[in-house]
Amino acid sequence: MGAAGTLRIRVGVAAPIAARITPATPITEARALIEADPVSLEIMWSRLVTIVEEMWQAICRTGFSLIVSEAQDLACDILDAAGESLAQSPRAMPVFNLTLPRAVKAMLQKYPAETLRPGDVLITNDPWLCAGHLYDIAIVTPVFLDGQLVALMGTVGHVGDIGGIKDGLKATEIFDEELQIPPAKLYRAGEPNDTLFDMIAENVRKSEEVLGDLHSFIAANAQGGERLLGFMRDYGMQDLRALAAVVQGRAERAMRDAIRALPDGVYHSTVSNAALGRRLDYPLKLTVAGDEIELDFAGAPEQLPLGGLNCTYSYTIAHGSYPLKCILSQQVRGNAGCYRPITVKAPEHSVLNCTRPAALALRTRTGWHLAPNIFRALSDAAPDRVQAHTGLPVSVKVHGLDAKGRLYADHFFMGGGQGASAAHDGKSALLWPTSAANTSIELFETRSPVLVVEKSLIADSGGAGQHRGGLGTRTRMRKLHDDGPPTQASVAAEGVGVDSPGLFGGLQGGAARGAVLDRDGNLARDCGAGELVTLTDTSRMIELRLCGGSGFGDPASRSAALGERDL
Amino acid sequence: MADAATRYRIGFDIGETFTDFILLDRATATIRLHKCLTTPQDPAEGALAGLAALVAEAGLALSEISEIVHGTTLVTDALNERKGAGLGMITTAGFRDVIEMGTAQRYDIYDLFLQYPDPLVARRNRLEVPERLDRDGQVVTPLDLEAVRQAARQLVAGGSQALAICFLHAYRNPMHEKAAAAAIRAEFPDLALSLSSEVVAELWEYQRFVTTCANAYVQPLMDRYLARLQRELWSRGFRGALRLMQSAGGLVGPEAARSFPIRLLESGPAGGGLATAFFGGLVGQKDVISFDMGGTTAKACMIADGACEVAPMMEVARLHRFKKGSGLPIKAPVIDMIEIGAGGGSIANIDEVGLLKVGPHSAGADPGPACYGRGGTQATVTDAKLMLGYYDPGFFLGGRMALDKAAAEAALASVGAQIGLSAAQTAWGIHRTVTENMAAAARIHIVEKGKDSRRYAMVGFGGAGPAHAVEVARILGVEEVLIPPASGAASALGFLAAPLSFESVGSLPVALEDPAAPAVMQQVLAELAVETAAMLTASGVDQAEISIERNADMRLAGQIHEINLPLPEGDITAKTCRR
Repeated sequence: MGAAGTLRIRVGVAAPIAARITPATPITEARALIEADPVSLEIMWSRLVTIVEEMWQAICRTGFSLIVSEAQDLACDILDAAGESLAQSPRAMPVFNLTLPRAVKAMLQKYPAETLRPGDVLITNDPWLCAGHLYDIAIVTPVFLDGQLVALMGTVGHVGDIGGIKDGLKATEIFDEELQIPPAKLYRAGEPNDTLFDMIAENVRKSEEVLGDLHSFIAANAQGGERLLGFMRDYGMQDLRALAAVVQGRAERAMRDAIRALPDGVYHSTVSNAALGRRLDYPLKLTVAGDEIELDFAGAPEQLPLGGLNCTYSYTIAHGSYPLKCILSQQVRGNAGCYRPITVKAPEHSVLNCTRPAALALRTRTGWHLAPNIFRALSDAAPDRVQAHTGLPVSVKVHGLDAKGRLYADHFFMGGGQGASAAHDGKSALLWPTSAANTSIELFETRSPVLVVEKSLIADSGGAGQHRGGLGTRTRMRKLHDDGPPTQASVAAEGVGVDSPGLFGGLQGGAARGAVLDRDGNLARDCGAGELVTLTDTSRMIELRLCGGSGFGDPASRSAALGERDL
Repeated sequence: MADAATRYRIGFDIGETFTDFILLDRATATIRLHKCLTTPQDPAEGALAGLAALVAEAGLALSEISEIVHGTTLVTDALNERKGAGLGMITTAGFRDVIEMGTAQRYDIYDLFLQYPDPLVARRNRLEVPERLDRDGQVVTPLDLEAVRQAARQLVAGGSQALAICFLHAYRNPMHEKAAAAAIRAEFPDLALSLSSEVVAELWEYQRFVTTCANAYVQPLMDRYLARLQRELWSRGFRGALRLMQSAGGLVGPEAARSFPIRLLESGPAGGGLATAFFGGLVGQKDVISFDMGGTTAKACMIADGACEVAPMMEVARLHRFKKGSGLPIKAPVIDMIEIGAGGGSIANIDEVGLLKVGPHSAGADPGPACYGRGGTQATVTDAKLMLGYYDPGFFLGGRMALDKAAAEAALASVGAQIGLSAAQTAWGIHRTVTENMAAAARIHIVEKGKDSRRYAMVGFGGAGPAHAVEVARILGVEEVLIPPASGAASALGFLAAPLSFESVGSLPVALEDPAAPAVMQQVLAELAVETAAMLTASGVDQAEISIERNADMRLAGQIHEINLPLPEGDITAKTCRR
């Protein structure tokens, strides 16, 4: 007993659990040992996720750009020594988690495990290996225990700038989109690769911000690596092979069980979008056979010569797989196993499987249409698990020099209306299928001399239905001052001229529009599919209207109580 | 030694289930404890009855009590259960939907059907007025006062009892908000008003607007409650000071509590934090982690160098208890604690990958754990602990309640059978899972603070805290656990350790390299000091006794997020900025 009757207890801090699994233990035996103690397994699995969550949080807190730190356009991952995903940051960009393993495997091919050293840090933004455009940079840090590569910590984040053409819709080749970083060593055994850092700095706008973000990724990977080693020490583990096989195997089994519960069959669906004003159709053949699903995008349009709207195969696979995870295996923590039962096919040289030197900076404007296609295809097989079209998000990027001649360049994110479902109305203003957040108006204004004139929900823009879509949003902004230098702003509302009918008789939501308006809000110019607008004074403002969500079910069957809420 | 006039102080904490009382006799340095059931319909009723019983047991009268310090879940409950005032909002033209859009972020990336809390003010009660300031607080569009009056009339006619005034960039310049408030007060002198520039003068419109709305939402409620409590205490002879516990761990008088009730959001748990620091101090431990586990939640907070850390914000009214982003952000200083897990009522289940999970669903108090024998059939944490021998089935609640061990065993066996575990193995699995999960959540919190848990001692309290504290400590590498006496009423005890304090925040974006920085910083700090001191002198504190601590949120040029750092004493000079 201590002072004033307080009970004091000395706690014997546990020694690491004895190493029962050594490198010599056959993998099947090691797996059986782990499987035999499901309680410990649950705890170990949670701890892996905790480690990536910490990495993600560290970047959100230390990043330099609005797009990384505020919009959170990034993801973190632990990969096993083979480059397969083991645990993913649970609140982060799914498409990054899905594309990273391909990049890591390519890195390991170029720099085999036995040649890697502690303190090495790898980098690439190759869109075919990673997340589909040059802005998304992968930073990968190998983790060693007793000289053996045991895991790789990976971060993929969208940096604020990667150089190149400002009007992405005018790009014809990836070379217009500027800096390509092949798999390379950014650090060699702890020593920075100054040449590469200088190359990056010299080729991007706001290089301090870009390098600041990269350093926050590097630091997060390092922190995650230390945590992972601490975790392995706690359990006396010498490698992660058996644990990886167990958690990936369980996730895979859960996905296979969920697929098996769907009726076998071949399901067809088509969605369309408007590329630079031209309607393109995307037929999908979705095959459920036993415990596997195949998505076949045969018939996808030829890759596009202009506009940066092409998807790499890596990106298409990710956007095809992610919606299936949401439908079939929502509760399971993401890892490579979840996706093994899924095959995605897309014809080579098509807009969904483009080849060099296709331009692809704006590939979300194509890839984000895949999810509603999958939902539509599965709507008869699993009507209560799918969702009607969601009004797609947009980020306006503003550029310019302020009155003191300093460069500003910032992204302003906003979301459209969520699609309705069998059980719910859609939420108004939501970013999907990204995990990003919108941008604070006040914060944005403090960084760029722009005035947001309005940001509001558009009344009656939710598609009607038994459940209605969420409302779309309208944003207007202009230059803050008449101070001479112009401001350039990308005005590219996704969904202009696109048909996105609801499901089961639900109607399409309100339409998208990008425009230039005069001071009083009268239309000066419609920006069509997209335009890089130059604002020279405060007499003009830009406007983006984002689509409302589409409805679900017959509008006539909407209940009176729900109708009441709409008023 | 205390004189007769200040000999007795009382702390009382109105919690979800129980109201706890502590009477401190400063002459003998002894405490007396009392517990009674909370009366949710009218919490003052139970509190007044309990106070009467407490002083009667001590052979005293309320007139002999010099001070009563009070914490309450009134604000939290009003927000969680949406029991606040009819609320209207007046905001900058073009931005009435800011509080409905929120961050527009999905808080679970795989859940297509995420639900979000309804905004505190329905769209029809969010009215816009012409007005706009820019990022420097300069007027872009002048305020239309006639539009403000009309909006207020429309809202009052529509049933609003409180209004929130939320203008963009008001943290930078409160001029328009103050002018709008003055115009409304002239016409509706009794209407509750909350201004975003007063409630939380910080950049980030969504959080500031929501917090301001939340403050307005609970203002009338707090006003009525405190008026009643003060009146009843007076009629019972109490002539001392009534103080309220704020979430950040300081006390305020009733007036400040009426103006900023949102700062009372976590008043009970804040008392727990202070008690932790106090008990740590008693045994010479300055770095302590609290571990407070009750029937429905478990919370942890960190004491570093004898003081509670204070966080700038928290989330309330979450739709999913453990999912960040599923609630409403409240930007008000709060003792930095996190919910690290569920309480004794959490239900065990087997998930899709065949592993044992505990929670998030809870059996609550009704039907409660299987062992309560009230019809509950699902295995809970409490059932596991009974099975493992942590509880004596014949001496629960001091023998006032019998526990059914057979029912607990049956429930545990039924869950465990799904994955081939016996009842005892399942119980141990539940215990370990809960413990590990709490430790993992606590570790993230500790790491976020940049601390190493191994340097800390742990104080365990709350109904279930002592049973789990040692295991949680072991996982965190904590080498000493303290179980204080009166561990069931720690919050009320903590109230008595709190100082009177108040926090004011102002915003001034400035680069330290700017030659003008020292002078403008000095000016803002001086204004804040006056404002803060006025709140304390209004609560009866002598000006000479007030000490002021100053902090600044700082970041590297170009970074987005700040860290909060203490500022040195004295004037801010060019030399201070270079350090």
